[in-house]
Amino acid sequence: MTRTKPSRLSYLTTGIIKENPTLILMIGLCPTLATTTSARDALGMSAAASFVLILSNVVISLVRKFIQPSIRIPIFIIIISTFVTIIDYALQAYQPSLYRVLGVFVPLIVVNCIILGRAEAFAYNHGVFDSFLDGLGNSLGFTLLLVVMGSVREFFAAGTIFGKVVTPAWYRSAPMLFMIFPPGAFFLIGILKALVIKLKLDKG
Amino acid sequence: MNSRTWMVVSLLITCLVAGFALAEVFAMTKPKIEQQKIDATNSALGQVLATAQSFKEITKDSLWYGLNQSGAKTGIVIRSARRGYGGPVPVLVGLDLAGRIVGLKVASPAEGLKETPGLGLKATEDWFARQFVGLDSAIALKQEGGTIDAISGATITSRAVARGVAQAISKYSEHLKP
Amino acid sequence: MNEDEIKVKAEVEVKANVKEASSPPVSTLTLTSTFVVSASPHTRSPATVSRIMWLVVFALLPALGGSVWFFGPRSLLLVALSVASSILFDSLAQKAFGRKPTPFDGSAVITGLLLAYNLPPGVPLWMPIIGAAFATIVVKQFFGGLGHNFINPALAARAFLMVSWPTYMTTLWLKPHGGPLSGLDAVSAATPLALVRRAAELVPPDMNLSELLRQANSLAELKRLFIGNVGGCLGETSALLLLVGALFLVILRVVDWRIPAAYIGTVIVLALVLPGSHLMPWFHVFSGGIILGAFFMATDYVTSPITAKGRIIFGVGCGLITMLIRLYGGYPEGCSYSILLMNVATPLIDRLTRPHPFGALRKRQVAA
Repeated sequence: MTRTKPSRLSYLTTGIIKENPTLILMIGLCPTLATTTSARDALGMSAAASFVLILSNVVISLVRKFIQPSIRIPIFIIIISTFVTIIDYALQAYQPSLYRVLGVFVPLIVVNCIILGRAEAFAYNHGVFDSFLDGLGNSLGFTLLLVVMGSVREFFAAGTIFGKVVTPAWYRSAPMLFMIFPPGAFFLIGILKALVIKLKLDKG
Repeated sequence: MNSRTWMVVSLLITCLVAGFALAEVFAMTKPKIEQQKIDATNSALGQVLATAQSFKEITKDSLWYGLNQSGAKTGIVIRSARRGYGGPVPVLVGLDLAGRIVGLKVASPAEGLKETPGLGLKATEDWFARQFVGLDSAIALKQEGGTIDAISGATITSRAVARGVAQAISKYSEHLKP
Repeated sequence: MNEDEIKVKAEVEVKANVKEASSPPVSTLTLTSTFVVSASPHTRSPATVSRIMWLVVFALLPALGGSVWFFGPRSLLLVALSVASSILFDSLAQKAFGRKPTPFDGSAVITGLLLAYNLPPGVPLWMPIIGAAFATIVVKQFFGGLGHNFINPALAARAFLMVSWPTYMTTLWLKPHGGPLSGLDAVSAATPLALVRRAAELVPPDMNLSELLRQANSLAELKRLFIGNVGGCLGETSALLLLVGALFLVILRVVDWRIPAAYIGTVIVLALVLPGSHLMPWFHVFSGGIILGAFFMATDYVTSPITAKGRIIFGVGCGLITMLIRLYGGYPEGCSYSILLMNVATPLIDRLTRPHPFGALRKRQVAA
């Protein structure tokens, strides 16, 4: 039996739903739970992480022939942390209000499992363009989940989505604050995970 | 080049490239970052002391003189913080030359406030801060003999704000002479 | 008896067990019935679960009567809404998840009752409904239904309402029939529990702190707290009526005495020894939700340990956390959180206190 090479397109799409890093592989949960208290913060976090993920994937794939297996992890970390520091400075300079909210979570992108995971599992043994697609796909999957969680939590806890008022005034005078607290994040991701499993089971 | 040497050299090269790239980005963004910090402070100061055109920092991060166009003092802004429920509750108090409160701003969560949403966080709402405007002494909650209505369910935070304001007033009255 | 006979018997038993395990309702019954009689976990009739549940419901009724007397018909309305929506949401969720709806097994009724008992009597009418939805759908049915929930549904719903609408849950007290909110004539704006930490703030102008504390520790206050004409959550104020029901359950051995005894005992000891405790032990025991929590919620079969030793540990833990929250925490009442935290620790406690098979060597003995 010959294994067919997966198509280019599938590199892009698997990361979005089928192997969604957070919802299916259950990695990178720390920023997912901590930064999704509003849709805007969630989008900011996923944009920052996506920047790092795509660029580190591309760069690691570019230089992979020169990296000896025994020291690959230190080199991955140096490359990743360089991009993280760059995004950290950039946010401070151009998006200070977002930076104040994301705070410690930006430096923590360095140890985001998704980024090191993709470097190790994909970029280290695939070409530059494929790695770019993989990074993009995983970024989209991560962004999708974070924005969904951020929107749902903001909707319940503040009655708004991306700061836009979407609920009547009586709701906003006493919203369900539970969702802005950590337990709300845990329950929500549990429910989303259950939905995904249900969809998978229904598909067979 | 044998593999052991290459291991060292490749790591060295990676570090060098990363170091230079970061130095470059740092130099590029540094002035901008500092400008952002100054802007943020000035806009917060402007909110509590509207009569001032510019601000002069007297004590780092805790006392500013507000100056008008001709450079004369119009008032002062004091930053103080007393312990609330989740941590310190930073407040910016604007005082005119007579020592009356003209503006009060409780820090937002993004500026380091750690109070509970729905309870202590209501201290950032307008109605609460407005109660302080015009007062010059005896800043305390109603249940402690003052005039300030506490936020319902959040006495600890309300008290931290009131005491922060009271502390600011008592401590810096000597700066108010024109 | 020859060996073959024994073997056949063993096989029959194994088969019976497998059958039990494959049908969830029966296996939960088996679990539950262990508490009723201290016999082996053999199959009982399906009526047993319901019987226990309805007995608990019955035991909770005196307190409901008291609540209506003290806080007026509004508490009956809140209880009715809470119970009805618990049954409704429970059955709907069971249907949605492909289980057989069991609206009248009594468990949803208990959840609804306990949830309402844990609400201030002045809360808006939608709160018990939202709380019941959270308790039955999210906490109970999401985790597998009756017998599988990892924390007490009613208490989880209380915690959920507490973080979501903290103002409503901490301010909407009603003045009880025949007494001021705090039980003290001098203090009208707070529940008795507020005296634990905030006594200094509540001192009226014509009185000093020691005078106020003396009143709080007086026999008149004890009588009010015991009978229940003080402010507080809907069903928790009358220690007397709760104890009537609790005694009934303990005598019928529906609930084990160990958890309440350990819980209340710990509270008494800590009230005596902890620094910062100005009030008498009985003040702590009879104010707030300790009686309700210790007898009716901490003893929940599903979320408390099954071993005798484990139950003592569980009760002591509840008492410890309750008193730490009351004396040093940010909330006036720590009863619900203490039980929830110990619920989460229950599997661990059960593991630590697992009894040894008769005749088996302990690790230490083996090593020696």
